[in-house]
Amino acid sequence: MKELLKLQGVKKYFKVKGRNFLKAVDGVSFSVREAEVFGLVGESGCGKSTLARLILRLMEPTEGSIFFDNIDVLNARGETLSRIRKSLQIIFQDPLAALNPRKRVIDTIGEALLINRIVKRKEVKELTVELLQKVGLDADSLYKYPHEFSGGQRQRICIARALAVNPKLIVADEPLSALDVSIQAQIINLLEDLQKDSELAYVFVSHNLHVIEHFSDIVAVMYLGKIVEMSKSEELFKEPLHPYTEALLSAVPEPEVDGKPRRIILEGDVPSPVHIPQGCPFHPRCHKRFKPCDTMVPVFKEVEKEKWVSCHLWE
Amino acid sequence: MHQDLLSVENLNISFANDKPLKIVDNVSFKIGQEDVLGLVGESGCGKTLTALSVIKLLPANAFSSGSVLFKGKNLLTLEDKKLRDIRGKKISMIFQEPMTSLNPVFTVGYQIAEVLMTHENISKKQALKETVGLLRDVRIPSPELRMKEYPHQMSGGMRQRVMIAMAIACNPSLLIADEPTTALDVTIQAQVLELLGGLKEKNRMSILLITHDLGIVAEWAHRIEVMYAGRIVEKADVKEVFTNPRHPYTIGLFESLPKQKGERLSPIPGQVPKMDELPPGCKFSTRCRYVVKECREKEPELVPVKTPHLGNSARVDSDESQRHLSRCIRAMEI
Repeated sequence: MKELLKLQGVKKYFKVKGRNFLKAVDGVSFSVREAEVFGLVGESGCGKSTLARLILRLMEPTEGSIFFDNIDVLNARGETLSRIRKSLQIIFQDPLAALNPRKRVIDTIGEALLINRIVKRKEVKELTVELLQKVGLDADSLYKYPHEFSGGQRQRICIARALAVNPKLIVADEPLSALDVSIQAQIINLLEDLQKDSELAYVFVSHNLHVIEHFSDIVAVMYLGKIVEMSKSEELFKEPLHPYTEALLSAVPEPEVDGKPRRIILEGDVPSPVHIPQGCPFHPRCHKRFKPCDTMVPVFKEVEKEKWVSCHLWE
Repeated sequence: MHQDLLSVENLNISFANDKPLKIVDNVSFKIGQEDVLGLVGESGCGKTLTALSVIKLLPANAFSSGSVLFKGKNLLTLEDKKLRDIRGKKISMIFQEPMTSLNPVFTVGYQIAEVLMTHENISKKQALKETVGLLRDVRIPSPELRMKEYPHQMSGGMRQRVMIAMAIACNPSLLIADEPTTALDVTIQAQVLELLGGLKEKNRMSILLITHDLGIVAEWAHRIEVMYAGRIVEKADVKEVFTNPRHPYTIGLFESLPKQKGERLSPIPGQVPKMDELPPGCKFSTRCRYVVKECREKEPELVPVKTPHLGNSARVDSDESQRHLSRCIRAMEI
């Protein structure tokens, strides 16, 4: 499959009080192929949402380069940029905040269709109905406002809006976390169907490991602005290489009654991204730390075929 | 037979709006000594209101009826002064969002000491001294320093530990934990759950655990009650419910959980109806895949599930609180 999105050494630093920088994303590289689901998992504050926004250039990175379909996203302007924006869409966590409360569904989705000159004004209604059907809403919804819908339905509207421009890649930033379990499952199925029907690729950002496992082809685990491990989903979940991934997987309570899992309890909290620890950023909490960890930063490299990890244990 | 610590019987909670709206309908459950009961359901099913009514913290426009017996005393009819001896002392509660539950203008140390001063009749100095010990119990590093901090100076996990320290300050016999780890990351959730487990053993507490996370219930609870639209739809011991669920809603919840890659999920269709638009008959009938005509006509009772592999009578005659109950007329066919 063809490479669709490519990030190289992407960094995003925010200036904070004093002369310090908050290193939200600190040198991230990966690529996503066509029709592939790239899962990005990590705990709050690890930089996964910032990274999601950088991909769409909703924020400008401090350093690094991003290519979409072999076009340099960061230096694109005018016509080229709007073409990229049409192929790259995002779904946010909180669908209520992502929809304009004063716009009806037809206006919200119609706007995307008109601005991108996908249809003429008189055809907007027809195509909007079609999009709504695709996401499992009926034509009654056209003239309703966001507050008249439930959380799950609102997320469907956001998905329909993203689909309106026929994107090749959708960045989904925690699209399920505001929803109840039974509704989550409906949205997962919908996203899966859309992916199969239109060969969509996703960058799927979530803190929910079960969802990531279910959904992703490739999984990247982030910690303090860096990807610490990346490999095929099945392999990462079967045999995690990085101690952080290992602890993360063991921490998830499994909905099964037999056998208590052996849980790795990490020490302390995630350090502040303003004061990232020396050496390996994970070493103060790591249950497998040894000599070089507190002084040397491990290199992120491919230790086996398509298995990337940054850990001194694997050097 | 062990004595029940808490016994909630036929609890109803209504809101007085233009027309009264019943949110919790005839809920009954029991918690024994050192028991962990998991109350499971999705948002809006009434699980938090049920918990709040146990310690009479319902909003002013809500009314409850039924009885909440704590060690034989009905808390719903108890006068406020006597209730204060129980609330925060013998029954305490931890909430989901530790930021909004702590007072931002007092140090965490003072807030914990205040609990002790209110209930234990000790001096401020003594209370602050005990606070250090409590913070150590919840494994907050350098407690002497951290107790002088304000909530905003702490991380989410730390704040939740402070909440736990406040809750266990007076050695309660019952702890109500309302989504205690929902706001936390998984690695921090693991820390907090491990801590709670240790404290439960040490202080011999019973816990009413309210959660939507079936994983936490599987690991923690002895028994489980599943709520839907203000009603208990299924109850039994955890193992029984996880291996042999007997209500379509419970089954739907399990099937909604993402599993192996590529495996198609079969979610519950539609959405929870609004409380003022509940269907007649079984409240789940609008979303149920096993629905038959009778379901829409009469609301089923919560009745014992006959477990054929044990013979009909074996289970039914045993201790009532141990039975497997389901509110579904087709419980045995599904």
